[in-house]
Amino acid sequence: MTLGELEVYLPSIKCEVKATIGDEITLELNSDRPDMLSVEGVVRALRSFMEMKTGPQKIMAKKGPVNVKVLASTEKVRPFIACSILRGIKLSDEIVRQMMQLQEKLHETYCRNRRKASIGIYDLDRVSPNIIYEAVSPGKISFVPLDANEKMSGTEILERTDKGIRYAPIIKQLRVYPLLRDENGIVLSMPPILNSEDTRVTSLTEDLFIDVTGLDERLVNSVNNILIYNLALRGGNPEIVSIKYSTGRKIATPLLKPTEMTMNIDYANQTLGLSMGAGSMTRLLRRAGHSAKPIDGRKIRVLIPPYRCDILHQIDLVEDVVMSYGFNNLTPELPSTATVGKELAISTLTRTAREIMVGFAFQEVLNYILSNKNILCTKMKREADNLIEISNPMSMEYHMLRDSLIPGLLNYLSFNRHVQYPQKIFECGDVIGYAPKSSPRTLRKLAAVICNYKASFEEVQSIAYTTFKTLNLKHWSIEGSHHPSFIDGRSAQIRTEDAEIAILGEIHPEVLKNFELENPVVALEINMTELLTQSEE
Amino acid sequence: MTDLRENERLAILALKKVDDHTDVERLTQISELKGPALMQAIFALSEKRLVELRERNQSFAYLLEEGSSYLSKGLPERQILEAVLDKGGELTTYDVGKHTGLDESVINMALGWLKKKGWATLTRRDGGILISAKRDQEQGLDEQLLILFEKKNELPIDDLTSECREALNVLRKRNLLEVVERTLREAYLTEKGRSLSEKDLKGIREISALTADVLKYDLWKEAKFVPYDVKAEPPVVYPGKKHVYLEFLEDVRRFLISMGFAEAESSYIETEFWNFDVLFQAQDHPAREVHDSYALKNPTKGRISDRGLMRRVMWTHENGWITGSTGWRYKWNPEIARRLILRTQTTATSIHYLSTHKRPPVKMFCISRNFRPDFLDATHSMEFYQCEGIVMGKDANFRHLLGFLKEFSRAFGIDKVKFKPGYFPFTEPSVEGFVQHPRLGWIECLPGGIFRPEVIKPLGLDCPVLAWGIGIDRIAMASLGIDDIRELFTKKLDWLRAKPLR
Repeated sequence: MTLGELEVYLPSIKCEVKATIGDEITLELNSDRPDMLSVEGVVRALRSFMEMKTGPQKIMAKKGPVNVKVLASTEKVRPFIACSILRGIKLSDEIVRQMMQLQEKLHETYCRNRRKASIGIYDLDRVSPNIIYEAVSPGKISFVPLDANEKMSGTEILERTDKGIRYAPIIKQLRVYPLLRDENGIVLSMPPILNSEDTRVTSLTEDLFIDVTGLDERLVNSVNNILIYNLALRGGNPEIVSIKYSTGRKIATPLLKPTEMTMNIDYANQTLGLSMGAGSMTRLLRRAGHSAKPIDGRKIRVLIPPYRCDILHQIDLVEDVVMSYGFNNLTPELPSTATVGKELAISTLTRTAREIMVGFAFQEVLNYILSNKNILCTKMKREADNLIEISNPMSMEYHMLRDSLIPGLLNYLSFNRHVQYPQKIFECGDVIGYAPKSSPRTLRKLAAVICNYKASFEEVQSIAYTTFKTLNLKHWSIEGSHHPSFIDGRSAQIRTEDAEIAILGEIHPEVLKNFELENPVVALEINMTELLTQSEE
Repeated sequence: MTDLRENERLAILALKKVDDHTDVERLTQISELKGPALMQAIFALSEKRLVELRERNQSFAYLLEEGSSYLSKGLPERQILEAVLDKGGELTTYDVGKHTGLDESVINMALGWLKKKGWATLTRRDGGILISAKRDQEQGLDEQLLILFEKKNELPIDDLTSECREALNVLRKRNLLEVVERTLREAYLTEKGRSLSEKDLKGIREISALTADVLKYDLWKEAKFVPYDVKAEPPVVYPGKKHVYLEFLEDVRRFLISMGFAEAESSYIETEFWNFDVLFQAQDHPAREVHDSYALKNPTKGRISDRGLMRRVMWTHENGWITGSTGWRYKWNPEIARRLILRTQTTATSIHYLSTHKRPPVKMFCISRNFRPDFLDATHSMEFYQCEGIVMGKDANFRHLLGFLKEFSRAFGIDKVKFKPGYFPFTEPSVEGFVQHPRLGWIECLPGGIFRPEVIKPLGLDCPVLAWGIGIDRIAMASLGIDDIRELFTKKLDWLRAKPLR
């Protein structure tokens, strides 16, 4: 198979080709297929999809001598464990590299950064077959962690090793830390932090012991399954480990039993807009890597392989069907659902208002809703009481939600001081209105500013009056107002009986100076949401 | 007939008064036109070949300060001579000073000229000099020249005789005057200019601006409109214009309405419940990490008013409820669901809409902004538009979704579309649509899918719901030829002013 062919097939199984260098392809995977987080899993899916070998991967595993005893102390800490053994594997550099990658990627994504589950892989020869999973107080833990050359206690591992520092938050607050050891006291690892140096996998290792511990038994088993199946594709003989919980419950892992699910053929056909028979649908399910068999003409019994943990619902099987079918083999068709289209009243009003402003020869501009305290408050000479702030901003440039459009327009002017005057700009957009202890409200506002060598109150006043007349708004009145951003005696608010609908005035020289504006500015801001409410009443 | 403008007519009349030619300065004095207007007229006439303009350099003599002081009393040697004769023919230099008021240095220099001109004899006496003169002397050429300046400021010297020029030169050397060269423009009426008829030169009223009065009194009938230079650059004006990106979004809105979609909107500030939980995104899903959405400092928690829905969502997350799903199998936390964030996807709007529009058919769209923590650069923005939409219908299926996405692209001039499987936590199957852009190649911008049963069942819905959330910013950038996402929110006023509307 050529690289070119591969690049054609890969996207069909949700592998996006990011780069091809020499004979190496870098892939980006979608996060719903943890079993494909190593090259083995991708190859398995590809083989089936390309119909080189359809259906699930099967492994033969005997029950072996290794057993794990789970002590009650783990119950409140990290209660579940799943293990597996792979004997007689020849570890090449490439296999080790893939093994590490799989472990790391599973940790990052599916295991939620080791919090929900974590993986350890060890040299089986270094420990006795009787393994104990327990939780002990950190002071009583003592072993040489991986890459260190001295024994450390549990506390020291969290404080002095890289991995310890990084993952400490998961167990630091616990009274006892999870510990995996053999009956002779040789420590395998302190999950979910670090393995021991004693049990390190080397190029001489032939038999691997794998453990997955965690908070969710299903997840722990899924991860264990993915590991043993993917590694077994490289060779070696898998072996089953007996696990005995303190409650007396016994379980043998890996769980090699497939999950059974019934897929309704009509449901699949309706969802996809197809009319396939049981036979072709069964074939497509096998191509997706499942074992499938029609029950009757209406249902298919699907056996989902143990490494496929992404199937929550039969809709996920339907997706597997359509992926096997090929998205580009589907005939797109326009939705037949007949409905009447309409826009929101505020959109209609917005369009009319924008047209009025264009008629007044204003240029429309666009600013972000996210702004900052400096622009919204400091430069405008006002307090930040009614402004909503982001608690985790990426930059202090964008950490506050605007409640008015005027500061953004003044800021806009400050970027255009050398552009030809008069500058008449407007914006019609959303702001967030908020008063402490109330719910924030989205408000549509319209603001317009004129910046010229001279600019007077009257100019925006006449625009306001004409706009209201054009929008057929009646029963409003104007009165002088005090606004810290405007010159006193030269600012006003326009009200209807029950609400303020506009503010206007000459911007205060100090504000102009704060924005480094050299020419006077007059501004007008209309609350369109309020205007709409008025006109609807 | 030659077409003359008023000012040109006046310039020709003035020229005729001075024998058809004169220098332009002189013409200014005799014409009723003001300097610049006259020059303009002369240039215009010269273009019409009615007047010929000639330039020539001419030298002029101007009196200097000392020279001017001799204008009324005469040169110092003349003043001394007159004083000597007045006192009987003999006078000492000392007395000369007293009688003439001349400075000693001037007297000393004048003695030289008295001697040189032979007007007096000088003899030493008692440590001084005695000046003796017998008779009065006639005015020399130099004195005659000086007198000319009583009437004019300047004396053209090119016309002077060689003797006069020599005398002038002497005065120049005595620092009484200076000589300056100037370029003179002279206007000559040409043959054609001279042949202009009376009628041509008869005055006609001209109109520059057509006013109401001109119309009212029919003045234009007797007058002539001043022609304009139609090729001259007019002043720059800017029209009022809508923002180019919002106009693009208006096109999208129009298209969706024409397809039968109804517009919806919801709050930018959203609970995690509506932004994530209802969309079956597990509370520990990587996309819900704290760095993937903006949280608020104040207020931090919101209300979830529909308790029933909250319970159904909880059960669905924990064990799949009656949806036929296994669920995510974890303990769902209502406190996390109540946290307020800036919505990261307008899918929240779709879900709100579905919660109040449960009966099919439903077709809804929303073009609005979302927020995700990011540093603003050429390809990332913390605030971006999404074009969201859903179709709920008894027979709605996956092929309809592909059909819609294809039609959408076609509406914006893109015929080539391809589809790949995609992954979104709330849809299954999910699709990623790619459109082929002539310059940029395949662009991934049409994501969609069918809402999962775990999403729609808790809302009490039973029909398939097709959903998409198109990254409209990227399509707009491709369509408007913009490579930097920040340009959609450009701060360059002149760019917006200059940007063509199509």
